[in-house]
Amino acid sequence: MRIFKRWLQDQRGDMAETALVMPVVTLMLMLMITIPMTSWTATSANTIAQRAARAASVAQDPGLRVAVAVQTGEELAQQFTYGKYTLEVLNAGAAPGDVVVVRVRWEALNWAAAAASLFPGLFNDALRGEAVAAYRVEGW
Amino acid sequence: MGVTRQAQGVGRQMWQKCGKSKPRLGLRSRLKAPGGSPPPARLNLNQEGRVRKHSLRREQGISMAFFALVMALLAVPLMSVAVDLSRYTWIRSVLQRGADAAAEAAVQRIDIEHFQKTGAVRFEIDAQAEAVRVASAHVSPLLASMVYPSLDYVILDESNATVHVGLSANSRLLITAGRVGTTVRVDGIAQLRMRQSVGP
Repeated sequence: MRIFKRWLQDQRGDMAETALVMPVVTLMLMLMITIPMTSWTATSANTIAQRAARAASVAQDPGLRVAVAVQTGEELAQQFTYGKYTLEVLNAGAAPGDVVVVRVRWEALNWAAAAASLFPGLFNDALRGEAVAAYRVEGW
Repeated sequence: MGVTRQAQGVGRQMWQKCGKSKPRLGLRSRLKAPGGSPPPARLNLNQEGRVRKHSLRREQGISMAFFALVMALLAVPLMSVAVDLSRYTWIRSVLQRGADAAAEAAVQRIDIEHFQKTGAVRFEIDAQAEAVRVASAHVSPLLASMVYPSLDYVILDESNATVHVGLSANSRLLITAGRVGTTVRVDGIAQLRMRQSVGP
């Protein structure tokens, strides 16, 4: 408490230094949280796309491939509670030998957005990306 | 230490000349020697006329210097490693799934008629092209991140009914300011298991 009072009453410029240093420190700390979580979200999106495309590629009924892909992807996305995932079937594959292509767009929370807003030009929006998976429709 | 002792000596001499037993704190302007010259401005004396130790190691501006040092030696390298590791893991994940899917697609390009007649596995002539097609579709998001993957090999092992697909990509390292990169290599394997069914 005494240290805090001394810091408040300080006239040697410590508060000014702190005011300069703290935004940068805060930004660094927030980035240390944001970067791994974003990486984790991207990997999760990759997994969702891969599983959905794989499930669709082994579906025997061509009319059901999109539904199978969407259902598989949504079930898996519910398990990943962090981030938002939007699944899209780019190519359902009409016949065996075609390629089923599934794209998952992901969006992760940017924990550093508030701190980054103090620095013009730095990213302060939500972090986005996409994952694509392609599998050959099984059969001959 | 030499500086401290010298300063203490100056302080004692000054108080002796003034003839005061207890000096008042923080009033440098009143601490005049008989000659009229004020004491050195840098001396910060305590009640006993000794130089306060902390005045000799002033902390003003230290936190900025310390912060710059920590940023340069610790925080920025750590951040770079965090970014590089995350990027490496992501690239490896995408490549591995692409290699697996490509191997799986290629292994399905088996000559069915030949297998039905002889029971031996023989791949179609376009098996490698099939692997390339699926792998390129799979790794397309890497291109948007300025990562350029390459197909190293597609090995069709007919004796074991296995396909090996090797993919690699070069990832630039932030810690080296993008000058040096590391190569991510993965190997995807798919094995075909078929059996001849006996007709009715």
